[in-house]
Amino acid sequence: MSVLELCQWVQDGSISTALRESTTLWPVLEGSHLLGMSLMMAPVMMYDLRLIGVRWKNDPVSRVKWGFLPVTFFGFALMVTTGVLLLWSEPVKCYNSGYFRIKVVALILAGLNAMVFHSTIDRTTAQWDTTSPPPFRARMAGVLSLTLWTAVIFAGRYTAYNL
Amino acid sequence: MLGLLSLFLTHGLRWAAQSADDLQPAQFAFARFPSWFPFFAWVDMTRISTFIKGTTWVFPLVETIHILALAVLLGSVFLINLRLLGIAVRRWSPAQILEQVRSLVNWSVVIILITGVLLFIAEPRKLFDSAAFGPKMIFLAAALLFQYTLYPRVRSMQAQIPIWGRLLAVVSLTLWFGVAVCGRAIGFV
Repeated sequence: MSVLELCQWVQDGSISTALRESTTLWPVLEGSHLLGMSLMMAPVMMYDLRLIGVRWKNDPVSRVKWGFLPVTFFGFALMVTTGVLLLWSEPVKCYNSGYFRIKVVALILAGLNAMVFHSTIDRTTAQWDTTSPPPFRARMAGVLSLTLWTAVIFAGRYTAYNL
Repeated sequence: MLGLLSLFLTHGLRWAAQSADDLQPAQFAFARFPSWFPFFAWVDMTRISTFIKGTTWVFPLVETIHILALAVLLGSVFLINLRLLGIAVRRWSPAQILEQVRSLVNWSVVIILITGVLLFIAEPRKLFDSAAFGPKMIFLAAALLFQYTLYPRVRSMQAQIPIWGRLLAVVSLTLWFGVAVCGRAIGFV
């Protein structure tokens, strides 16, 4: 079974059809996806801007991190839940969309960036908690995170245009 | 709570749109006020409008920047409001969060207004008939007015948050949420 056939099979299912054709649920899902996006983007941005060294300069990095992380997780959970349902509602369209593929790649890269950050420089946060400017690798992680999440949002919005 | 609010707004907007028939414009649409028509028609005829309509790339680009700035604005205001309500980000006082996000909020508002005007220029005829555009403009005017008059009082809030601090948060959430939901609804109703 190819990926396209799998998408077609999912799309022909009753859940996918119900989601796609609901005039209430679909807009609410999409709206909640956007809500999750802003709930996640703002705290991610705060942390990234701290890592880059342009905002929250007087607060230790760890304080900014743990201050915003719960909101980030909540926004992320909302985004993933609604995102999966939105994908479920029209998998064939997403499969055929070049922009959706870019979005998936950008998401994976954003995840990798976070993973690399957590397993390397983030482990030694205690040593550079108040250093100004923060170490190069931390600033790099912040810039990459901002760029990749912006790319995710761009590619996500462009998926809907059928360009 | 936000889910219920969005459900409520969605149904309200659908009701507003469905009450339109062939002869009667939708509830709350600018089309209910024909004296506005010459303005919308004039915008539709401007060179910049013709230019945007003649391309396929300008509109998506402008709209995506609009949404990106909206995410930054809404998200930043959310952070302050969640703190005011005592739900999250309790490590800082509302005043401290406002201080850090203020320039982000201001820049997002500027970008949102510029891209918003361009989006309006691109399809005034559609917005004239839209049941959601009128309410969006009303929510927007109220939200901006509130944001730059009463909301800055957050600056006085340190560790203790008075009752009216929570009120500020609820009003702010409702107004900005109204702008976002009506804005998104332009694409649906």
